[in-house]
Amino acid sequence: MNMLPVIERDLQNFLKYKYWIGVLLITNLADLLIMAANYSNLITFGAGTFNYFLFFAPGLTVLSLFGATFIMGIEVSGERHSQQIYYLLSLPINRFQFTIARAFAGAIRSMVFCIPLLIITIVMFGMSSILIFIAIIILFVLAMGLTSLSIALATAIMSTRRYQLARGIISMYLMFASTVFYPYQIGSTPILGRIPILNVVAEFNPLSFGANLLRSLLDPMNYGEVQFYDILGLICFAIVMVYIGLYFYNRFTKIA
Amino acid sequence: MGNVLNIIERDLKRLWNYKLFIFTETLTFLVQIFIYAYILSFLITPELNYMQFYAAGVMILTLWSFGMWAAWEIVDERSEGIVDYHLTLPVSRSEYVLGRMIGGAIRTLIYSVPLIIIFLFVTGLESIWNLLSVFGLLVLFAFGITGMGIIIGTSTMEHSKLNFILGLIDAFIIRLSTIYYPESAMQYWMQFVSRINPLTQASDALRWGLGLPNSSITLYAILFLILFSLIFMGVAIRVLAKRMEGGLAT
Repeated sequence: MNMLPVIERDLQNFLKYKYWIGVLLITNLADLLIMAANYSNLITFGAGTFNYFLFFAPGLTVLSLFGATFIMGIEVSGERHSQQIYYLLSLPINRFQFTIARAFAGAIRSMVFCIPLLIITIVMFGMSSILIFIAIIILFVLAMGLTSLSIALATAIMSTRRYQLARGIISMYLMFASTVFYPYQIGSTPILGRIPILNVVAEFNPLSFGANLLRSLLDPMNYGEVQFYDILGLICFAIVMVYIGLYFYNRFTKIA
Repeated sequence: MGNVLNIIERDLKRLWNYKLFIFTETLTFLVQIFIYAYILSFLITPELNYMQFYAAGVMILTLWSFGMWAAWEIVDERSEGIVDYHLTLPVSRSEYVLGRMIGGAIRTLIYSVPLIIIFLFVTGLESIWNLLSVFGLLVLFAFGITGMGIIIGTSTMEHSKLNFILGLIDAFIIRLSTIYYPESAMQYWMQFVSRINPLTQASDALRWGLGLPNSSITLYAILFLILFSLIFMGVAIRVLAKRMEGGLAT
């Protein structure tokens, strides 16, 4: 058995979440077109040199991707409850391939959510087709890592309530201790660095890697060239998370 | 009256059933004020003390989330068949519904107390009388939200549909209010929607109660909050009493 049937199954299951899809798409668009627009009227820092709307748009694209990746975690949690997980783990497919296939399918599904925002962002900034292709790859790798994280959480934590708690805490770390909402600094003025430890924590945040890379691709003049550290961090995060997902799937079989 | 009190007592006994939800909400409240708002305050015009402004908004938002929890509870009870049991009790429908609503609103207020203390620490207090008068309005508002949650909860038995309805309402009602930003930051059409938004009226009233700079309360806001709460309470009693009968189908 190869990975394709697993991916196909997950993609077919996607339509089960039509309400989720609707809510997330509407919320993301409202975040950009209402919230970001209003914040940009309110934020006056830099006397016109810093445009918060343009800063927030790539961050929001990454955030929408993150929100969507956790749908896979909810699905895996459901499979554990309905005990369907035993059936899935008994399939004649290598466990590593199985984990990769699920992360791959989750990433494709998540891309559906962030594509509308990505399109709006690209239209705002203007971008060449090769850079668009690179941006999509970056978002896809990030989505694979985040999907694997959600799978690992859903498989590792047996109690649904504890799973929700863990998901809430990790979401808070990923969202608020990152460069999604605010930059490290503007000119020489520290912004994230106002809370010193947050600056350090944000450096190791996958959402920061994604948002930084996207901003650098869209507007290198304002946000600097693409940093090797962000690329390396993103790839390492995705690989490590796939292996953690694999570990917890294996551990689940042993416990079972 | 005794029956209503019994229903309220039952609701209050289940106060800590949702401790995880309360913990997550409290944590979100703290992170949003002490990290998100604190950092954003360095980017926002210095005339506005954004941390204080945001804290008042998030306080109302938390009240909103706790109140809306009534919707989840109703859907849970309907799908698990607990309502069928309640229907067999020797309690009239209106007593049952009234008891549920009062119990839900009191729970919302109890959940909010620790957050209110933290919140007062951030915002400070100008006049205790102003705050007390606003507190009366907010208690009424908590009843209104709980009523709204009950109406939404009775509209479906599916968690996914409820998630969709609440998500849709949140997407607009929160973003088109003065929870996160003042009205002056909004475009004209957003300002119009914001003025007919209960979250705007409640958060502005709370800011006035605390004596935050540039805050005021109008007769319109007071009347709006009173009417909003009374209408939703009345409709919730009617809707829930009606929907509980007849197999609970949607």
